[in-house]
Amino acid sequence: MEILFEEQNDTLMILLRGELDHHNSIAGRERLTLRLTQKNYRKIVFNLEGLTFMDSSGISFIAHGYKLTAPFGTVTYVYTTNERYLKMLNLANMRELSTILSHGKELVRLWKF
Amino acid sequence: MEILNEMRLMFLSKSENEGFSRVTAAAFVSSLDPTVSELVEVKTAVSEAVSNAVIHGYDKTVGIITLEMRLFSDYSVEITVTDCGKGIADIEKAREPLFTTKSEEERSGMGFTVMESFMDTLEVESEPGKGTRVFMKKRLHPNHT
Ligand SMILES: Nc1ncnc2c1ncn2[C@@H]1O[C@H](COP(=O)(O)OP(=O)(O)OP(=O)(O)O)[C@@H](O)[C@H]1O
Ligand SMILES: [Mg+2]
Repeated sequence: MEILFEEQNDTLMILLRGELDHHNSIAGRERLTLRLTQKNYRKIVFNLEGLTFMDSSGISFIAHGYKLTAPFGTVTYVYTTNERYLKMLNLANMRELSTILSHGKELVRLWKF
Repeated sequence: MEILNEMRLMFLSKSENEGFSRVTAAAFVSSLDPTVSELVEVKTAVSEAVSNAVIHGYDKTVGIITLEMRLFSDYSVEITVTDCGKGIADIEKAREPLFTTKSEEERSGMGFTVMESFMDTLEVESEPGKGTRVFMKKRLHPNHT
């Protein structure tokens, strides 16, 4: 899995690419921790559109980002149009921790705001 | 109902085999001509079961994980993932959504819930100190029917 960061004002976009499973998330998690502990953001957005596979490790990956930043008032967003990822996020009650975006328009609005 | 094909794969509990085993499972089931969603659901369920054997069953030790699959003429697939690791003391508790014994390693406790929702049947057998066997079944609705 590849992890790319894009920053605009005080929003951090976390672009995930490739396969997110337990094995592949180990290195990515370290990079995420490093990035999120260097600076405070108002919003972080996990963009799952570049993933070709995700299992429940994706849930803990996002929850990790949330746990690191929520105490500082950061709001977590997740963007995906994949039905199965949405199903997993819903099963895990991720809506309690984050705002889930499932339309490109919602993402654009967030990014421009 | 006739068995169309059957396989058994044994591999070490290394985390890189999570990807290897789910790709193998997808390749094997593809002869039933599953839809794209069904294929991904099978892949995800296998990934969950194998990851559990690696992370929980064998923890930091190395052991053998067995993946068995059977394809049937009614377009159903049976998948069994077995480890000889530490086992589960309370299966009912383990299957609850968000229950994990590895919160310090930030697992989400969603593996069994995902297997349950992506497959039709999930059965878990386990004995502490002996190992765990996860059995799953799914009826496919192939593209051509
Ligand atoms: N093969 C296994 N051997 C021993 N214990 C297991 C095994 N599979 C599952 N468990 C136990 O069941 C619990 C729940 O498993 P489940 O897959 O639902 O969540 P998790 O693995 O903890 O988190 P996630 O799958 O979301 O990363 C685990 O925390 C573990 O205690
Ligand atoms: Mg699991």
